[in-house]
Amino acid sequence: MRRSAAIVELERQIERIESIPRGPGGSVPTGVSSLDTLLPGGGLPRGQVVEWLGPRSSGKTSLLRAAMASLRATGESIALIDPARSLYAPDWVGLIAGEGRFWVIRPPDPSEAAWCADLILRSGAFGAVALLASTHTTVSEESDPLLRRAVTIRLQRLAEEANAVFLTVGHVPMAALRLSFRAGRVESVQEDFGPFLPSVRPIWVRVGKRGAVEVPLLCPVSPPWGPDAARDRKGPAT
Amino acid sequence: MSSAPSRVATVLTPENPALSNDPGGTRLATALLAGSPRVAPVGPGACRVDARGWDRRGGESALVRALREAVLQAGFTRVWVGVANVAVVADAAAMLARHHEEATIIVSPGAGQTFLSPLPLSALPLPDELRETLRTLGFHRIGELALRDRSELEVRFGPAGVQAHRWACAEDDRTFRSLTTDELPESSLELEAAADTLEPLLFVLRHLLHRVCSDLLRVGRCASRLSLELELDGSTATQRAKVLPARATRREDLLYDLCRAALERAVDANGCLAAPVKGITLRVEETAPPGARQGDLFTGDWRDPMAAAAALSRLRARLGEQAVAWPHPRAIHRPESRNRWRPAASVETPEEEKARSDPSPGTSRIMSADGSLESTLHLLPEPVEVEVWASKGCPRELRDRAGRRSLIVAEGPERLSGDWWKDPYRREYYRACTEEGELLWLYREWRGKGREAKWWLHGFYD
Repeated sequence: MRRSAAIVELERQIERIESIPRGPGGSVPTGVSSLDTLLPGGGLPRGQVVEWLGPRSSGKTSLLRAAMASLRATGESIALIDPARSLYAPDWVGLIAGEGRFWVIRPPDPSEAAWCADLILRSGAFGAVALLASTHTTVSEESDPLLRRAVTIRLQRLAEEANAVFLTVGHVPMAALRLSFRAGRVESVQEDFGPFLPSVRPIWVRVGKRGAVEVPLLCPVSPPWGPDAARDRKGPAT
Repeated sequence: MSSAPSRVATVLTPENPALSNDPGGTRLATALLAGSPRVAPVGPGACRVDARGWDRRGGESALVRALREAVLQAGFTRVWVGVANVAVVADAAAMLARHHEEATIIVSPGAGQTFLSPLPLSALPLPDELRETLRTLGFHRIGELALRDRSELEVRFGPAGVQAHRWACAEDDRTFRSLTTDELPESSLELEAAADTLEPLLFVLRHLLHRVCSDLLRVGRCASRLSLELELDGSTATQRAKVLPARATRREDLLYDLCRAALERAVDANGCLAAPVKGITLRVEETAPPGARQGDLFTGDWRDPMAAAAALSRLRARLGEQAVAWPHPRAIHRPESRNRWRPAASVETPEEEKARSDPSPGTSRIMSADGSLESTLHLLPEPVEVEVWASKGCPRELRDRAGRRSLIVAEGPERLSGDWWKDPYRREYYRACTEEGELLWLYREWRGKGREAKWWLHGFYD
């Protein structure tokens, strides 16, 4: 290659490098396309705090798992902080397969959850950090905040520096985006042996003031000890 | 018959092995085997070679040519060689060759001290602290140090001073077999006076870590598991602590933080140790090849895996090994026993790699084929006793701390029993939905001699 041609080639490569977006920003899909169309930027924003609010059984954790799986498929490392230590291990095995890494932080003392989030975000090595609530009650705007204002501001800055998605399943002051969850009404299905749960129940996810979207959530059919166990429809023991 | 006089060649390459695709120095060492069967990696991009045995094959010049050709053919861009009687002179010759952009410097037998004499102290592998002290005292050239009486240096600096003087006089008894990859580095020190606080131990720890990390560097390995052993004063008992970095490493600062956290767990609220400590041993129990990956200039969002490993290691050091976990359900029907989390491994074994790419059967999916989300379960750390009103055996109403609620549908029972030989249980599980839409996981269990059934809330779906 002649010298001038080499220089042209180098200039072309430098232009390509310079064109790669490096600043904070961008978004990651949740894995639910109907919800992504409603989210600003087409997904969960990087570098900002996103709060997920809703009562128990409103599908928060199911959607969180789908979003984590979607992000993980891009090869990013993910940390999930579970101060209540209530996640059921078999439900999360699927996330440790394939590229990227998935870690669950289970602090013995729930009050250390914010410190864990700080340390993980500060490393700059994680694409997403999710902080779950430390209680099992309904989390709403009226609930006690999951993090204090000063802590939230600090974590928001760290998320911005790391260009990471920071999710809190619980109310935090000054969150950039709020997703509110609500479970649809469950209608029982009558069969010969009695009423049964429907196979699918709807949940509603509201994105700030931009509107709401219905997401189908499958009702658990197989017992959590494994799909090999058959459903026992005999009468109850007396 | 006496053996041939020692001749050593030191080979340097410009590549930083931590960033190149030769992290353990294996490629360089393999290439050098073309010139000699005795090759020892001595640091990043550096090896020592036994230079004897080329008398009938063209002498040392031919050896150097063979070494250089082999290294360049192995893909290294440049190479510098120093040959001398002892390792310390050969190392200095190779460094000088690199400094002056010469390919090779061969120091004749017997000329080692003369060669070293005008060189600065930095040409000797002295500890930084000792080198600075010698400079402060007016020693700038190696020859100035060699002129001093050895006993003076011994009085002032101890064994380190004697070693420095020996090197300055071109005396070096280091052999090729200093440490092999089969040997696990360890370092220990006995304290002059037993320590009952942490500070003296932390001071010693830095020194031990420096020695262990230098050994790891020499053999091109990283530590994936270490142990700290404290020898207690006045007894034969020892106190042990494990140190598990999230990723194999030989970074002194990171390992220091982890060892410090392990030691801090051994002190009480006043910062005092449970018993005075008279000795400390740092032992590497498991090593792994360096796994550093080079960043990609063309990937804007590349993230450093070593930074992730450092963060996770700090979490484990403070919160305990179990706090950083991967799901690892056991093939047991009892839900609380099945719900198992294992400490995230520092280095993945082939079985774990396989498990990551092939999740065990019986684990739930995340999303169905039609785009519906699969439910996830939250299992309460301890089942909560609840009051349930049942009709025909099926729960209809429930009362817990949140109040009384109607159950619009309860699906079940799923009968579960077992462990008759140690801790028998017999349960009937129901998935029940409240009017508010909460999907609960309840069970009825017969416990005790009277076998009275009680209802328990075990978890909820979300």
